[in-house]
Amino acid sequence: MKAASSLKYRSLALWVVALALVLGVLGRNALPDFFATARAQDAAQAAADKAHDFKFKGVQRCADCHYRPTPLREEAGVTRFIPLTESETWLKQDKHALAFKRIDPEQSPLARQMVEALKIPDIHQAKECLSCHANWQYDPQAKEWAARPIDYKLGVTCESCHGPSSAWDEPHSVAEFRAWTPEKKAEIGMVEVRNPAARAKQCLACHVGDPSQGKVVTHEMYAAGHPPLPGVELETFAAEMPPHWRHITDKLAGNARAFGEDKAKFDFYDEFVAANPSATAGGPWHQARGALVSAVVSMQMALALVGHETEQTKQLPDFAAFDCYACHHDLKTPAWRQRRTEGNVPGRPRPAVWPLVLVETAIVYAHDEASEPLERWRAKVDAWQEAFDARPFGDPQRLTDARAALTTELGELLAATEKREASDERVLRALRHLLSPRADQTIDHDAARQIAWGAKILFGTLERKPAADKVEPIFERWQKEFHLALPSQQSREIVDDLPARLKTLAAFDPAAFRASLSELTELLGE
Amino acid sequence: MRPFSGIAIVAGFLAALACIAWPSAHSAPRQDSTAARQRDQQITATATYHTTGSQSCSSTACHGSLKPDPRSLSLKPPGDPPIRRDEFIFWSDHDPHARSLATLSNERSLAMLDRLAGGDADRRAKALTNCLACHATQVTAPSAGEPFFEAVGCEACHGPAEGYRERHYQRGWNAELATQFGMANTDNLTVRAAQCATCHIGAPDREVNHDLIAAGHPALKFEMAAYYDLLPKHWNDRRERATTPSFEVQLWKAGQQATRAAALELLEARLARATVLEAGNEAHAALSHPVAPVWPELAEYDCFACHHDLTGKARLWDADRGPALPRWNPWYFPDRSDETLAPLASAMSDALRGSVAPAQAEVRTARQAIERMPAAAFDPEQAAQQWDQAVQAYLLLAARHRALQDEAARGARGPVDRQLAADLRKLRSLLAFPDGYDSPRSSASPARLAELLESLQQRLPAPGEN
Repeated sequence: MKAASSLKYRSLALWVVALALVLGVLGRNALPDFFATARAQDAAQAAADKAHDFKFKGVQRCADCHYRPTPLREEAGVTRFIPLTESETWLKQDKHALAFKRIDPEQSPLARQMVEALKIPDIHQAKECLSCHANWQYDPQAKEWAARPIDYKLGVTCESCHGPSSAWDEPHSVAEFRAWTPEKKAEIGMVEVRNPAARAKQCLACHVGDPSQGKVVTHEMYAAGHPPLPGVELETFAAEMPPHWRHITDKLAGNARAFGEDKAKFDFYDEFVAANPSATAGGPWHQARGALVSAVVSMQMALALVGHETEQTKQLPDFAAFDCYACHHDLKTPAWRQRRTEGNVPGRPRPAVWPLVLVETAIVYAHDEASEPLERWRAKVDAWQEAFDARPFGDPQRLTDARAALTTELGELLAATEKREASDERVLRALRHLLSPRADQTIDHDAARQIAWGAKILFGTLERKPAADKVEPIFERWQKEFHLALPSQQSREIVDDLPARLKTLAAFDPAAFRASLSELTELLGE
Repeated sequence: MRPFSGIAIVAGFLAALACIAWPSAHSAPRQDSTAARQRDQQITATATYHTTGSQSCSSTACHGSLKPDPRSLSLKPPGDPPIRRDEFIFWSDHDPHARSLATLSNERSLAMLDRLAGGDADRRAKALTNCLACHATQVTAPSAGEPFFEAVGCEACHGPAEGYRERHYQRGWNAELATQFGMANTDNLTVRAAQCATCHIGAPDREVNHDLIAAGHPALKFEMAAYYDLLPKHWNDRRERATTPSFEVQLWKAGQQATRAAALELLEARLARATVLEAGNEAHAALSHPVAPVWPELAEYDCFACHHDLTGKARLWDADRGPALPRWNPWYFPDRSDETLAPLASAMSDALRGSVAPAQAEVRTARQAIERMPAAAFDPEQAAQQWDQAVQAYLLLAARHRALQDEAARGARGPVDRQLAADLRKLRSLLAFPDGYDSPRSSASPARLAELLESLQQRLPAPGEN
């Protein structure tokens, strides 16, 4: 009798175990999750933590995938979206990778001279240099410096522009990420570099300066030997990096050529375009739009440079915020600087003129025939200039007021320029305005280069190019005459190019340049 | 009535007339003594004299003779050479000061005025006031009629003539009376230099500042011995050359003393006006006027610390890379090792970007310390580092060279070595601005300059002690 009952219990036990197993496997998803709330809270906390504590993982991490595409990834079609050779392009051709080498006294004689003159004890700890040359971050809210980037010896790396990657490293490596909106990406620390305004802020924080991030070249640094920062036209500069990216139209065209029309679009193409308006904004004129948006951001950043330190102190602004060549020119009488506009007080240094050049072009692009925005802008610029007339190096109160007025104006202009739908007509009108500066507008060498570069970009985007056979030779001539070529990429050194550029700059004749402009204006017609 | 008596009456009348009229025909009218005494007392009581105008000195019997007195031209002793008597004519014909007022209406000056003041009549008037303070003498004596402007004439250097014009040729005229009646003691070299400095450096009521220079005015860089050498002289200075050992070097020293004092006085005035700015006085709110408060006053600093292009050629603006701020006044204070001025130089550097109060305190101290004569020597290494310093060294060497030439001319020594003149010319050519430029672009390296300065200093030693 005992034997029969134990057998019964054993089989019962077996059934119970089997049932439990089955339920366990199936029921995991079917049963209510009693710990859901707690887990959700944990996740939210983790995300919040990440929001304030994104870490830089270093360029070595990016290069794991982005140096060379694997066959697997090629098959999966990733290279129809991006080439996966970005790190290689950057490392082998882009000057940004050499940014630390250039300031290392052990590798550069100029760096040695500067380190001695500025009495820098250790270049590896020099925050004022590495803020730009290696993107050592400063937190303006916490008012403290982050840890030094682990890849600082590789100069300005991926994360310097794309943002700290600790939170997006994982998510971005799947195709579905192409459907994320820029806002969602921003939450995990990725910078939307497709958006010209966001990109301009990243680039110009170093290439113009950003006091809030500790990115300023002071006059003392220049005196010690730092090459003078040139005027920047961002589309021109970016095109020579060389770019490790392609615009979406070029992606499609490239794919069609390589893989056939049916494979032109990469996976999640529609979701990508829907989520990322910046990718297609401006259409065929995206470079023109990009140039004008960047120009407005240039002006915003240049404004922030003058007198940023005098808000707290009673001191006058650092000389570096001003136009170098307002003072640093040999004296001649008569000279074009003396023949400048009436109404200016002679002998007063002014900030650099070049950021102003393309801003007016942006106004004409954004507001078409309306003269009111242009007049309003000019009146505010006049008020700003008057702050420098009132007192050498600027009257602090007037400066603050004028800067506030200009900042408001620029904010509105940025929005208007971004929103504006591009067209051949609009770009051509803007181009004509660019090529006919007012007689009382100061044009120095840097401003002339802005006009030249801007004109080339705008003209290049036109579908119908008027008198192209005559216009292109003029651009060619300008290339040499005004030293438009950039010492870009790793093959050309900035310090080698400097003597020629500064010589052209010292000998610059605004009258000759204006004559060229008139020539072009005639060709482009009314 | 007898004819004789009629004739007698007429003759007597005529004689009386002659007695009255005769003194008026004399070139120095003497009124009746009571009136003269009263006038004398009136004048000494006020002790500020009016200017009577250069033409009031220019009668042919006084200083407007058509030909110079031949005895005055003799270069050889004995005795004091008498005055030329044709000083006014000579000044009119040869002295650049006679053209100073006319300069204000040339093209360059008119362009300057446009740049400074545009079309604003009030600003133009204010700007002109500053110009005229140096470029003209205002003739204010009531006897001359309405006040008017003339060029830089007799009274600009010799003092307003109202008090001394009718006294200085009288017997018994002496230095004491000269001082009392407003005649400047131009025999004294320091006084002479101070008179020049009033305009060639500036004074609290007149200055060439950076606004003016930017508008087109030449920068003022004055050195007494050099300017004296260039000036066509309406007097014969052979006696003072003969009796003053190393006259040229003494002139240089007197010049240094006077110009340094004037430069500091001007700086003090500028700083005082600058504190007005710091107090937030609205006086500066309007666009700047030449003598309204301006700070930083860039003309107080080394011009070429800023004004050089960046093409990186060999540089005479400042081979010694100090802090990235221009040095204070290397022209009038080239000696960097001068301890008395170090605090002021440092305060002036700070004043470029911050408060002027420390500089104000230091300049007062410096003005007392500066009574001491500067050393008539320089350090070739240091001088070669910067243009103003190098040029001041050159000018001292040139003064010493001229002193030697004076001695040789008098027969007190043998002929001066020709190589000295050649080397001085070489030095000058290294320092001179190239054609068309107003700033040094020399390719001379500081080492080459120091070598040349050293060699010249050895061959042109400082005569005697300070």
